[in-house]
Order: sequence, then C-alpha cells, then structure tokens
Amino acid sequence: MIVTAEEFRIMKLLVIKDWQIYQKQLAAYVVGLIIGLTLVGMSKVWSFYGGGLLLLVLLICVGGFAIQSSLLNERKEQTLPFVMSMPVTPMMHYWSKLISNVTIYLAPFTLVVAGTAFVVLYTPIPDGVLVWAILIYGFLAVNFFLSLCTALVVESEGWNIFAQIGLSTLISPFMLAIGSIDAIHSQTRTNNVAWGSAAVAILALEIAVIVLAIVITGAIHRRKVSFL
Amino acid sequence: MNAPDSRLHYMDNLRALAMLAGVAFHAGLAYSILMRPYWPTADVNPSRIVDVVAWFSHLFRMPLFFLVGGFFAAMLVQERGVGGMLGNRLARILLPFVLFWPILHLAMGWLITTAMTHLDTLPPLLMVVKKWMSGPNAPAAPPTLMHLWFLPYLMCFCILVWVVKALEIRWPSRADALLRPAVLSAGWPLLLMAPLFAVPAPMPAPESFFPQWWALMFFGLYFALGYRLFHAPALLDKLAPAAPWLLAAALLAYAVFFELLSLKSPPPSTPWLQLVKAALQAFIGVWMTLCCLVYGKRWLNRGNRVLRYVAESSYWVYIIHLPVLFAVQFLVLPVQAHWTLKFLLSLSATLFIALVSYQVLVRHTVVGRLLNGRRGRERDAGEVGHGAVVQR
Repeated sequence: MIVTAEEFRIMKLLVIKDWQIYQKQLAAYVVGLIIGLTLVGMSKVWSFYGGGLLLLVLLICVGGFAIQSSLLNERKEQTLPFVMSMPVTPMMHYWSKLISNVTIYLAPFTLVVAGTAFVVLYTPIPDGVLVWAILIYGFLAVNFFLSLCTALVVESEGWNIFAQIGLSTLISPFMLAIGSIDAIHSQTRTNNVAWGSAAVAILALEIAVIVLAIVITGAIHRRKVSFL
Repeated sequence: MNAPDSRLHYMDNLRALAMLAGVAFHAGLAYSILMRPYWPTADVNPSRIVDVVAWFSHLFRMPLFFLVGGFFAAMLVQERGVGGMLGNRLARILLPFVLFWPILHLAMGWLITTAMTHLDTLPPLLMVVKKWMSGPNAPAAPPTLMHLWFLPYLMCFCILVWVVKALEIRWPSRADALLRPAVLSAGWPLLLMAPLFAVPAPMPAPESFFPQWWALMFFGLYFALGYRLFHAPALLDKLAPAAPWLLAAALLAYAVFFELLSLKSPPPSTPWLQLVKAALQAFIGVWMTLCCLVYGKRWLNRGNRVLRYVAESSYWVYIIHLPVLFAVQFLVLPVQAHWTLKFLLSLSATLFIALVSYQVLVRHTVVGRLLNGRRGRERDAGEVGHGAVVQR
C-alpha cells in the first residue's frame, strides 16, 4: 500500500485524535503503572504480588478500554458518520485505528514484559520461568489483537463484548494448559532459559494468530469501497 | 510569571554546578570513612574531612537539581505546551539515557573486572565481589541505573506533569498562600520526613530499575516546588533576607547530623533516632536548597562565555565521569600519597578527560545537539527563545 503525504497527514490526525480522546484514561493508567512498578520494586512479598497483579490487570484493562473508547463508542455516539464525511478511506481509517490502539497497548505491554524479565533474571526466581511468562504475555497480546480486529470488522456491540469477555476467560485455561506441558513446566524449576520446540511452537502460533488477524481485517477493509 | 525574553542564567548555572558537584562527590567517596566498605575505589587512607564535606553536599545537591528540573519543566510547558515539553524531555533525557546507559554499564563492568584481576590490594567491596563471583553458581548481579538514576526519575516527573494536566488537576489558588518563606522553610521539610524515614541515613541513591516510592516522593516534592517556583518568581526575593539564617541553621543542624552519623558506637537504631535523622536531613536539604537559589540568583545570574561553556558541558561531563573517575582511581590506588593529592589528581584528571572529550567529540557534533539542543549563534538569534535554559 502506497500512502501519499496527504493521506499520512490525515491518518496522523486521526491517531492524535484518538489519543486525545483517550488521554484521561491513559493518564490514570500511567499512574497505575508507576504504582505497580513501585510496589514490585519494594522487594517485599506482599508488594511484589500486589504490584504484579495490578500491572496485569492494567494491561488487560488498557487494551479493553482503548478499543471501547476509540472504536465502539465512536459507533455508538455516531462519531463515525462525521469521520465518514471527511476525505478518509476505509483503509486510512483502519490503519489509524490499528496504529493508535496498538501504540496505546504496546507502551505498558513493553514495560510490564521488561519488568517481568528483569525480576525473573535478577532475583532468586528460577530463570526458566521467563519462557512460561513470555508465552502468557504472548497470549495476552493475542487476546488484545483479536479483540481489536473484531472491533474493527464487527459492528455489533454485543458480539464485541462477547469476544472480549470470551477471550479473557481463556487466560486461566491457557495458563493451566501450558503448565501441563512437561517440556515447559519442567524448565520453570531450573535456571536455564531454554526455548524448547514446544515453547517455540506456541510462541510462533501466537505471533501467527496476531499477524493473521491483522491481515484478514486489513483484507476486509481493503475490499470496502465505502464505510457502509 | 517570568517575562518571555528573560534569560535565567542562574538556574542554568545552578544545574551545572549541581552536576559538577556530583563529580566531586563521587571522587571524594573513595576517601570517605563511611563509604569505605561500599565504594569500589575505596582508598586505604580515608579522611573524616571528606565525609564532613561530601555528606553535607549530598543532602542538597540532588534536591537542588530536581527543583531546577521542575522549574525548567514549567518553563517548557509555558512555552511549548505539555506535548512540547514531553517531546523535549524525551529527546534530552530519555534518549541520552537509552543511548549511554548500555555503554556505561559495559564500561563499568569491564573496569571492575579488570581491577579485580590486576590490583594486588583490593578495596573491601571488590574483595567481597571477587569472593562472591568465584563461588559456584554465583547469580548475576542485577544491573542498576548507576549514576544516571536521576534521568528516569526526571522523565517520570515530566510524565506526571502531563498526567496532572490530562486529569485537569489544578493548583488551588488558595494554596499559593503556602508559598511563603516561613511556610516553605518550616513546613516543607515536614513533608520530606516521611520518605527519608523509610531509608537509612544518609539517603541512598535510588539506583534500582524499579521506581522507589521514597525517591518518587522525596525528589518529586522538590520537582513540584521548582515547578511552582517558576510561577512565583517573587518568592526568591522574599526569601533573600532569611538566607543567612537558613545557612547558619543548616550548618548547625548538619553538625548534629554528622555527629549522629559518625558515632563510633552508635546507639541501637530506634524509630526515634531514625526520625531525628530524617528530620535533620529534610530541614538541612530544604534550607540549603533555598540558600543555593537565593545566592545563585545573586551571584550566578550571569551568562559569560566561561559559565555558558561550563553549563553546556556539564551534562556530558556528568554522564561519562564515573568510568573515567574509576579508571583513574584504580590507577592511583596502589600509590602511597596523601589523600588530598590523590583526590585532586583523580578529580582534575577526570574533569580534564571529560572536557577534552566534550570539546572534541560532543560540542560540535550530533551528540552535542542531542544533549544540549541548538547552541551558539542559532540560539542567540532568538530562534528558540530562552536559549540554554529551554534546551535542557
């Protein structure tokens, strides 16, 4: 896809618009992130678990809220018809939504993953836990991208809520499932960060699902000649 | 509010002095009695004089730096808006940290390892580290922010400025009544006592990659004060008559604090003793920071070539000083000489190398632009506005 300078400018405006609308929630999340990281850094058992839990909850909420605020509310509050009146193609709209949501999500996501890696590698927690943790974070990212792509193509609010809640309920079963794979579980007791074939396959599958979701959603939007 | 065309040289010069004082502080720690068990270049002949001077400056050097940081953040918000301030801070604070931290981390690691291999008599800390590392399955030491710890904290406070603006939290107009010399010098330290109570005295550097709540609160309060001070420029003039008294009180309080620090057989640490130490640190810090502002405005509010050069080079000098200083101090460690000679030699050699490298590698290159933004003719032409003060 070749983007002209004018199209790029409009897409940038749309992304900034989304961030501005989402600014208050994002500011509150930043405060939550700082509190979560500070709790983890207090080196006490209660604060470590409290902080870790807060960071995970925030990570899930950030994605959900961003999608709700920038896509679902836009439809509900009839903002979309206004956007349609501007010189914006469905693809430009698609890319701007993808970029604004992914940026909002990836900022805390990167912080939390980096923080987890730091804690695992430099505390008495066995280093092997890192592989298990990354697979879980990968699953959280899959959840976010699937929810986002669903919101981009499915207009029904009900189905979107169903997709978000449904995907969230799969987190615990996923954790149990990878915990039951001996090649992964046995590594969590050692100090080796070993990427066995099972772990690599699961991570590759997670990445493939994310890429596929983006490609399919993009293809659907590319076929559209108008928003309707 | 400050007039848009005023150049606040004293703030720029104070910031530079705080940074250069940090270089001298780190150079001095090698000859500190209190730091001998904890400092990698600790010398065999430490001196009490070093402790007296070093810990005094430690109580207000970084507080002053964060106050100046808050002041400049407010100035940037006024000039460029919150987005402009964040963009500037990302470029001047976060980017240098991301670029220089890995290099410094590797350099420090190599220096420590080389010193442990080649030195015949190791300082106490390196003896412990060597023994620890030679053990089976020795875990890797967690990387720390080192002497660059202040950069992430400063960035964090700038992000919090955006948070406050985004959440539309306003400074209540009635709260301006609190910005009076008496309230500031007697009440403000009370707020700082809580974070200082949580850490051993003298306060440590928060070098962990995870934010420390006490440091966020302690330095955050100074940053907030600096931010507010920008909008209340008359406050410093009101403080001026009290400055000699604050200085005298701070010196007196420090005499008590230092006695408590250097007791040969300290009493068992009780909450009361910790509270006294926290209170003394808080009051000395605030009083000395206010004195620095008052006297800085009186004596450093000039923008001659030398001061400007010092101000512009100080950021680079501070960033690279620690590995250079350690290298020099490891070299002079086996030399039998008085500590004053070793101290002056290591400090002057470090400053010389740092300034030469600034002139050759930084001042006229992209690195200089990264650290200081535009300078010289471009800035003097008024294209940027406040010049140096805005660039930092």
